[in-house]
Amino acid sequence: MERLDRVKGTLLGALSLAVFFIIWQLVAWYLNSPFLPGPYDVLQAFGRISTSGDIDGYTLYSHSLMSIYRVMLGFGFAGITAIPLGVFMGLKPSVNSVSTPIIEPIRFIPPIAWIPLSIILLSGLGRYIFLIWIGAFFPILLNTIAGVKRTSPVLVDMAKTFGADSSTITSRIVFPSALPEIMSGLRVGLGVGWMCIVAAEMIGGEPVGLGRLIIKYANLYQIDVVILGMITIGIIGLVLNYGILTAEKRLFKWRVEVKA
Amino acid sequence: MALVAAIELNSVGKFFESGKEKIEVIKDITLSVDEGRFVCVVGPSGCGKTTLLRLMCGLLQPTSGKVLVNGNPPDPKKNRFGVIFQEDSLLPWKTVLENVKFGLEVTRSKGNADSTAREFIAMVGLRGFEDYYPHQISGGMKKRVAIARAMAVDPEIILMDEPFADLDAQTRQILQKELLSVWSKLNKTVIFITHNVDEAVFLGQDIVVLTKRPASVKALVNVDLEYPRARLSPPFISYREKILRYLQEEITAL
Repeated sequence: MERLDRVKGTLLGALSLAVFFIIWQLVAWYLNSPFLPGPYDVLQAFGRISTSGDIDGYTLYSHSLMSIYRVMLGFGFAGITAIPLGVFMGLKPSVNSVSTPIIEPIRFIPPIAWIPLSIILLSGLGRYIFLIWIGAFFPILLNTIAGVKRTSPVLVDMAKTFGADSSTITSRIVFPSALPEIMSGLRVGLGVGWMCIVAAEMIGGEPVGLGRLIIKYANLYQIDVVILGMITIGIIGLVLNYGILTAEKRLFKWRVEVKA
Repeated sequence: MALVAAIELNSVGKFFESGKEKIEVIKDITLSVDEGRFVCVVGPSGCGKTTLLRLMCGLLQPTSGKVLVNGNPPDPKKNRFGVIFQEDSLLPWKTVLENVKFGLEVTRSKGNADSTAREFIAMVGLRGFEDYYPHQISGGMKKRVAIARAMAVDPEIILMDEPFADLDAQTRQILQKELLSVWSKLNKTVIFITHNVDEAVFLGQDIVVLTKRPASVKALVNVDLEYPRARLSPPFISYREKILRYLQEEITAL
């Protein structure tokens, strides 16, 4: 039964995608405008950019790979900084109250607002890493703090009665108990980071990157490649998110919620 | 008779400070428990039973007086305690086996943690459930795992804080019997806190009745009955009534 339901779901999903593409194609035919290419034009652009590259000779593959590379560096850096700080802040309420007045307002500055500053202050890869870091840092930090604070006091007491010291309690009780929250922070952070990179590449100078691809072809009024870039961004974002979700399911099979 | 009592409390008092208020939770408790005894502590709810247990295992320090475990102030880093909490204290991300091993690893117990853990899991009747996660087993089974984890570290003292309070009556009675059989095999000192008089009379060699807060010792009752005890026998019932009377005095003396 379950399998049948899944097949049904997949079919329904495919059908709705097909309907979407058909409507898009019909509208494109009807308008017959160079500013609204149909899915077939985008598919052709996909073939073109994938094989012979864009006007600078970079293929869709190298644009994507460059964007992913930048995001992963910034995202990794965000994880390395936000998780330990979050654990520390969650464990020590005094640290939390000292850092909150600094962190809270910064948190509400959208990553895009940092772009000009990062372009002035940093160069090359550094800008992108900084921007991804800014975007990914806060979801990871806040989720880590929340996860650490949610640690059951009974589990901590239990470890204490066995004579566990504070580092053992942190590594064997607090951290694993906060891990589901940390993972969902990572998932949100990666999503935000992915969205930031595209914006950053649009403004930054380098010729490679999906954001750059979009801007280049927008300036040439070749909207088929612009839409191709957008779709690629969407699909990669989806895959990254799915990757973390799968990791979560693997890691947290001990949780009742993730079982289904 | 051991020269040094397993647990000794010398006019122990405990205050908690909340803001400006000072709350006296425990007042002048003097008590001595010999090694290998099964002692139940009963008292009106909210009287400070849990605080007493936390003082005994060094999670809390007394405001006045002295707590001694085998002659020294309790320190979980030096002493071996097996504490069983009322709440579920299993690590949800670890299997039954890993949970029992956790205590052995943290206390750096000698011997092979894996085989010791398996041995104690079998002792509490959970052979075959080693690889289950806590959410896959029942409340009673979780308690058994907690008991196995506490016993496996070869503790000097076992401290139980209303461990069966959340269980249904049937499961509770089964676990009471099992606890007694494990205790008689291992010959450990047990402090068992409960508000359930029936449970106290069924389990304890000695029963400490506490007053309402601030808790002090209202009465010490030695239950002179052979194990296994029959709940419907006249002496059992008369012990129950005696303890209930003490508690009744405390509750009505408000």
